Amino acid sequence: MGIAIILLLLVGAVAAVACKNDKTARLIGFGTTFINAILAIVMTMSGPHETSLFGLSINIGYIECFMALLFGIVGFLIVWASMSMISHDVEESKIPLFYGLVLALLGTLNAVVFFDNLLGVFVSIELSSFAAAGIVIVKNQTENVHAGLKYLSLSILGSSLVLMGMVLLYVATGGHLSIAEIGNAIQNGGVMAEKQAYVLWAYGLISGGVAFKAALFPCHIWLPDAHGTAPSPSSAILSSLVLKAYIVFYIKMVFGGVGFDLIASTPMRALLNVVMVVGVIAMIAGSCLAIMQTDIKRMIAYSSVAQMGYIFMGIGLGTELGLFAALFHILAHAVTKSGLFLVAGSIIEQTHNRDLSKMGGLGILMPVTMALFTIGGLSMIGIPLFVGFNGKWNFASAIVGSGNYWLLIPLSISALLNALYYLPVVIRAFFGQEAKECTEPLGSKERPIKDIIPLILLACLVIAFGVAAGPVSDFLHKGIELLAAIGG
Amino acid sequence: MNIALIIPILLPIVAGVLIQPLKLHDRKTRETYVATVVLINFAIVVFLALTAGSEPTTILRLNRLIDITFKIDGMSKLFTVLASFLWITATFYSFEYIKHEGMDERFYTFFVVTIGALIGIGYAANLQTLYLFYEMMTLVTFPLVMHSQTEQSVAAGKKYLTYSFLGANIALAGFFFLYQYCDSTHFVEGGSLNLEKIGTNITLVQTVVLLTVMGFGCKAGMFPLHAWLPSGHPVAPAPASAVLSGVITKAGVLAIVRVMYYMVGVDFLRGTWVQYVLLALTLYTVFMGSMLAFKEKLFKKRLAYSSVSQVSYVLFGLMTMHPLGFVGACLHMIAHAIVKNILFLSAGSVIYKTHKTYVTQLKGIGKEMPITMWCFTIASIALVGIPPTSGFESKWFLAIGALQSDIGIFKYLGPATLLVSAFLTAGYLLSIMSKAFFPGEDYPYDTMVKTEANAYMTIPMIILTVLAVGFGMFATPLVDFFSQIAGLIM
Repeated sequence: MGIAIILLLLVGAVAAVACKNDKTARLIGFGTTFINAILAIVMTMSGPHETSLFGLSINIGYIECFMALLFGIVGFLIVWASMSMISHDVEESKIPLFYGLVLALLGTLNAVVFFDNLLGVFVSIELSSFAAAGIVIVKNQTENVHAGLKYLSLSILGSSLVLMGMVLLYVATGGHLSIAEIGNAIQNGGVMAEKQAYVLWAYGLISGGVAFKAALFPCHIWLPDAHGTAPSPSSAILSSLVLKAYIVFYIKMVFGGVGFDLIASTPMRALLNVVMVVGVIAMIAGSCLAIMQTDIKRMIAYSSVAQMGYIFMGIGLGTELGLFAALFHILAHAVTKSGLFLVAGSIIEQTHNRDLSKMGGLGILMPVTMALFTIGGLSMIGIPLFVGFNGKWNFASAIVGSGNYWLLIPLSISALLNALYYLPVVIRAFFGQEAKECTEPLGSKERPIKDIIPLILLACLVIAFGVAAGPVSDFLHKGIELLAAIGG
Repeated sequence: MNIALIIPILLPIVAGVLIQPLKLHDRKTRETYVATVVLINFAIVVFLALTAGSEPTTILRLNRLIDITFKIDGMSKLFTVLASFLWITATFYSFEYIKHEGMDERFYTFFVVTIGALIGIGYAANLQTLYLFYEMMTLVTFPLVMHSQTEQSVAAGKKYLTYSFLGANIALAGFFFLYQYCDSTHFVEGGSLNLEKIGTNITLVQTVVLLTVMGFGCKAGMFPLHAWLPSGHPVAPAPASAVLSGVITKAGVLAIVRVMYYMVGVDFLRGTWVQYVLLALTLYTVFMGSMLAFKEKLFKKRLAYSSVSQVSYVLFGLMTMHPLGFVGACLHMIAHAIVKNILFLSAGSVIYKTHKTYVTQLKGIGKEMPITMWCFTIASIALVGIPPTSGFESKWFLAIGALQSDIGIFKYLGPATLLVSAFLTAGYLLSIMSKAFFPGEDYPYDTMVKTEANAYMTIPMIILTVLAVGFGMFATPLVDFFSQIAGLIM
């Protein structure tokens, strides 16, 4: 089933590029992602299994299913939203290419997550980097080309670091390339004891590489440019899905490869401590940078930097609760941030303005859109009943469980900082003086309601996972157990 | 299970949200609708307070660790009945007042939703639920603060939000920390802190308790997180200022009661440095608030500073950790809530009728608006604490509680500060009264025009004034009720 998902998306990509007609390309994008979402649901229901593609092993566990669902459903909603939005950013002749790249990107992201064999993972990572840079450049303006090239160069730097790490692991474990086998060698074969330096260097390099690919501060410098200038649906995919695939790869490497027990008892702990501290710095620094922005999309992009910090902090705790918090936050951030980027895209499309200080009265002009923005902002701040609160709660209980109480302080500060850049936008839109003096009728610049249905659905997901996170939490806990067992 | 507990929470929230979609553009229809909602809600709250049992009701599980659970106990009854009653008077008052503010539909949307959030805080049976409604209250009251949408009010609203989030986040972080040392995730009379689990971490736990109380103290205007209150309360429309000062500050008090008496337990705190720090902070706030009020010339801002001072009277009573001090705190909670409503409503009437906003402009206003200013005067007397009004009763218990408890120097410093502050209160409130009724020789008696506000505004004030006096004279059942609560938690 995993192979079917990857192949479907790749075939869809080829078909979209080949059709040369923007209407058909949209339909191919919509149809393919819809079928992909259904396949992901079917795969999740059929449970974990192993298979292989081109002789490279694929291991589908619960975490892989979770990611496939995320890519499937959020990807489908973004593509749906893009059908009406994309022509604002991308010229008509490039639209088939855009959908081709998006589908190829989703396919390779699934492959990054599914492959158990590091060779397969690496090839998928490289391909996804090109597709990801492609959906930035497709807008075809100077700033996009610059941002895309910056993204591509740093991305390749990241992949090379990851590759070096993989090679070191290959050597250290005596020729293993599958995560399960590497895990077995490290945890049961005594590799950790005999060749500790190799393993640590390998994980150090992989951490560094992933830091670039997943925009962990201070390796985030490409992100605000790429996410800020890309067409809004691309920004939504880049922030909510692309970053996450590399993080899940990292999670599989760390917790499947080294395992919780060895993390607690070996110098891996020190390495993860570094990841944790850098994550905390990212949380605070990302938000501080976001506060300073005047461009709505750059602000949201910096907010992603902060949220990546949360996720890396959770991973760095090195405990099951920390990992759970990180995985849950992948979901929380994906549904919230994709909605926010699409909202920002709608605002820019309707008002031709990206400047935050000129958004007074938008609550009158675009009430529904701004209400969706408010929901996203409240979720990011961590207000109860929105998914972000559950994320915050998971981090807090992981922190308390691990005994690093001081982390509660940055966690609280970060929530406050989030409030400091999301709420002023809401206030200016609904309550500022401009809103009072605004004479245009209510909702006069609103997009047609049928175009914002996917945005509304994303907001519904934000609330649904906010009020009933029980099932998905249980599913993730099962996934963590399975992951911990693959190398053991 | 008592699923009825969610009715008074959901009813106003749903009814409030529906105001815009129902398109209640007609003033009369809208007023009838809003009045019906707050009256029915009050009836339900009273009914539940009289009949509901104390079993907890879980209505929603956000995940394994977070459940939304409600329960009615003594403090819930006190808070919810008080809040929903004061909502009625403020609502009727607002029917007239809001005419000069505009944007009525938005005002009522948030005004009605707020009472739902407040009842939620009152019924919350654990800190998760309390936090949920606490944040909700912040988010639905800031539009009230910003209602006039001027630069000044938007700035005040932002300040309000920032302080509130800061305070609530400190409290939440504190809660996460304390949670692991508590045997129960729910509020339990007397607290459920497990001393064995704490072991040698005592100082750390004490510090966190202090920070948590200070975090919730933000809403109650406790130093050092009080600065939002004097800028936030005065800019709101008068009925909103009245409930912000009178009721919403008490939500902060209730949260502190829950943390100190129902989570941590006062035995853990009594006689420690935490208690002394808290006593010092509250007394300082009492003194500072009344000094600033004394100095302030802007009418509504003076009243806001007065709230800073008076709510800390309540907090001082809690910090004595003595049953009598607790009773005094509960009584003062009611007294201040009622009195501050009267004061803000009468200030609102003066502004509405005469557009006078400075206390120096109020010469002879007592001749022009006698009913309003009589209510103002009686309320002032009650707040100063002159017998037989409600303020006397509560301050009496506060002082006795302080004198009987074992709190070192604060045993005398406390009552002395309360006394000094009472003099200052007399100074800043009664000076308005004296100028209002005795404007002096040069007051143009011949050209004076009677500008008394209409019945929508005066009747709520008169009812509240009767209560402000009446509670002082017939407080015995309440004293018994609060002593009973105090007996359970101490």
